[in-house]
Amino acid sequence: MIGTVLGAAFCLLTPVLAGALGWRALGGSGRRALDAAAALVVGPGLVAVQMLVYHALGVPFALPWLALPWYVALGVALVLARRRAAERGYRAPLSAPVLVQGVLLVLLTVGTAVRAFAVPIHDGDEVNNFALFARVFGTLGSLAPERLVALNEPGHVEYPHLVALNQAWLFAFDPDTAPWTARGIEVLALLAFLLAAARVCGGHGWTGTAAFVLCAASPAVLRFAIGFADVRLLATFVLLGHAARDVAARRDPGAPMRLALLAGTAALTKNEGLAVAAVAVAVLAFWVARRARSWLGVAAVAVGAGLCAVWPILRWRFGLHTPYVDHALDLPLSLLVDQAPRVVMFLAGEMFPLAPDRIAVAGVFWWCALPAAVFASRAAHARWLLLAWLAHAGLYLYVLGIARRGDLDALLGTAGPRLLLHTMAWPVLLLGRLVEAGRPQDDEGVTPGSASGQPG
Amino acid sequence: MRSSFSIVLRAAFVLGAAVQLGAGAVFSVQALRRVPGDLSTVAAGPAAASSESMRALLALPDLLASVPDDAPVLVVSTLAAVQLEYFVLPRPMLLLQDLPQAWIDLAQQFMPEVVDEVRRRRERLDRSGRLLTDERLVQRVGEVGFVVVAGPPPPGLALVRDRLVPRGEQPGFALFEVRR
Repeated sequence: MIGTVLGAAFCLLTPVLAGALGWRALGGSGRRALDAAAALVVGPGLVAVQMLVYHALGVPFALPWLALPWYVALGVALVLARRRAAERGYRAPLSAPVLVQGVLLVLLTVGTAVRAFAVPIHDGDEVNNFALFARVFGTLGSLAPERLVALNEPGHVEYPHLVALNQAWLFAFDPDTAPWTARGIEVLALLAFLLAAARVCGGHGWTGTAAFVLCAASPAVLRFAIGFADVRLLATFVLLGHAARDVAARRDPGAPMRLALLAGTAALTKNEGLAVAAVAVAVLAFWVARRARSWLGVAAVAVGAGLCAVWPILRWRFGLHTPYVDHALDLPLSLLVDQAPRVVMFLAGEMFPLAPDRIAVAGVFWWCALPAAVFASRAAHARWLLLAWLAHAGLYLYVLGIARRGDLDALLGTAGPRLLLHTMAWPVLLLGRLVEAGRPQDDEGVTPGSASGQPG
Repeated sequence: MRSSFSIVLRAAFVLGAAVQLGAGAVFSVQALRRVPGDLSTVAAGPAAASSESMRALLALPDLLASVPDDAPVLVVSTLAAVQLEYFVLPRPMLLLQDLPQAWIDLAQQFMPEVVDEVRRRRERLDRSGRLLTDERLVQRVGEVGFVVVAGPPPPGLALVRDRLVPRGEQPGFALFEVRR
C-alpha cells in the first residue's frame, strides 16, 4: 500500500517537477500561484513531448529513463538557484481574502481527490480517450502504433494523447493499481485551474474573492473535473490568455516562448486545444513579424508550430483515423443554418439556468460573468479578450452546427457543456481585468521583487 | 474604468458568489454521497458491481491471471457497450461483438437519439469483421489460445463448445482454453 502511494506520487509529481523547471527556465511569470499553475499544466505537456521523442529514438517508456532527465535538470537548477538566492524578493503578507481563497481551494481539491480515488477508472470517456491508450503505452513501453491501429472499437483513437501519455507512467509502474491512481492527473488539473483563477481574479480584495468563488466553486467545473481533460484545457486556456498579455506588454524575452509552450500543451491535450493553439501560434507569428522581430520570437513561433503539428503528423503517419470525424468536411453549410438555432438555445440554457436543479449542475458563473466581462471589455486593452471569447465560441458553434443530422442532440448532451467550459477561460480573464481595475494599486498582490517588477 | 466599477457590480459579484458557493456545495455533497455506494460495490466484488464495466474490472484480472501476456485472446461479447480491451490488455485481443437488429429496434423505442450511432457501430463492426456471426466465431476460435465469453453465451457458442476447455468463471464472464 505505502509502496503504491509513493510510486503513484512519484509518477504524478515528476511531470510537475518537469513543468516547474521548464517554466522557470523560460523566466516564469513572477507570480507564485500562476507559476505553480503553469508547472501543473506545462509539465505533462513537456513529458508528452519527451515520450514522443523517446518513441522516435526507440527508447522504451521505462520509469527510470522517463524520470532521469528531469532529476538531472533539478540538480542543475539547484546549483544555479544557490547563486540566485540573493535576488529573491519579499513575500506579500497573508491577508484574510487570500486565506479564504486558500481554504476554498484546498476544500475543492481534497473533495475532488476523494471522488477521484474512491472508484477506479472502468468506463466511459476516460477509458475510451485516455486509460485504454495509457495501458497500451505503459504496458507495451512505446506508442505501439500497430497496436493502436488494431484496437477494437477504441472510441477516440485520433485524440491527442497528453493525458494518456502521463497516465502511462502509472500503468508502467503498476498496471493493477493504475486504474485507482491514474485520476491523480485530473485532480492536479483542477488544482491548476484553481491556482490560475485565484491569481487572475482573486488577489487580496474581497471583490476578487467573490470573483474567485464564481469561477472556482462552479458546478460546471466540478462535474467535469473527474473523467475528462476539459478542466485541464480550461486551465491551459486561462494561462494562455495571461501569457498573451505578457507578450503584448513585451514583459520579458521569454514571454513568447512561454506562450508557445502553453499553446503546444493545449494542442497535445485535446483536438479543441489544437484548434485554439493553431490560432494562437498564427497570431503570435503575426505579432512577431509586425511588432517584435527577434530570434527568440521566431524560435517561439517555430516551437509552437512544431508542437501543434506533431500529433496530426504522427496520426497521419500511423494511419489512425476515427469514424467520428470521417465525414466532418463533407457536410453542407445549409446544415449549419438549419441547426445553429438549436445549438444556441441549448448553450443558452446551459449558461443561464433558472431552475434550482439546473443551477445545482450548471452554476451561475455566466449570469454574473458575462455582463461583467462585457462591461470590463470597454477598456481598449481588454477588448481582445472579448474578441477571443467570441471567436472561440463561434468556432464551437460551427463545429456543433455541422454535426450529422440525427446526432446533434446526443452531441449537445455529451459535449455541449464541456465545450462551454473551455470558453470560460476568456470571461475568467475579463473578470480578472475588472477586479484589477477596481482595486487600489497597492492591492495588486505582486511581489515588488518579482521577475519584472511590473504589476500583473 | 475604475470609477464605473459600480457598487451594483460589486453587489452582483457577491450575490453571485454566494449562490455559486451554495450550488458548488450541493453538487459536491451529492457527488461525495455517491462515493460510499461505489466503494461498497468495489469491496463486495464482481457479483455486486454496479455496472458491467465495473464487473469486468473486478472480475477479469483474476480470471485472466493464468493467461500469458502475449497470448491472443478472443473475446465473444454479448454485452452492450463495455470497452473490454481495456481489461484484457496487454494481451492481443480479437473481438466478436453481438449487436443484433433487436438492439437497434430497442434503441428506436427508448433512446431514439442514439439509433443512428448504434446502426453505424453495427456497420463498422461488420466491415471490420468484428460483428458476431457463427462463421466468424468458428474461424476466430482457430486463431487464438483462449476465449473469454462476456455476458450470456451466444447460441453459436455450441458450434465450438467441444473445442473449449473451461478454465474459470466469474459473474458475467467465462474463460476457456482452446483445445489443440
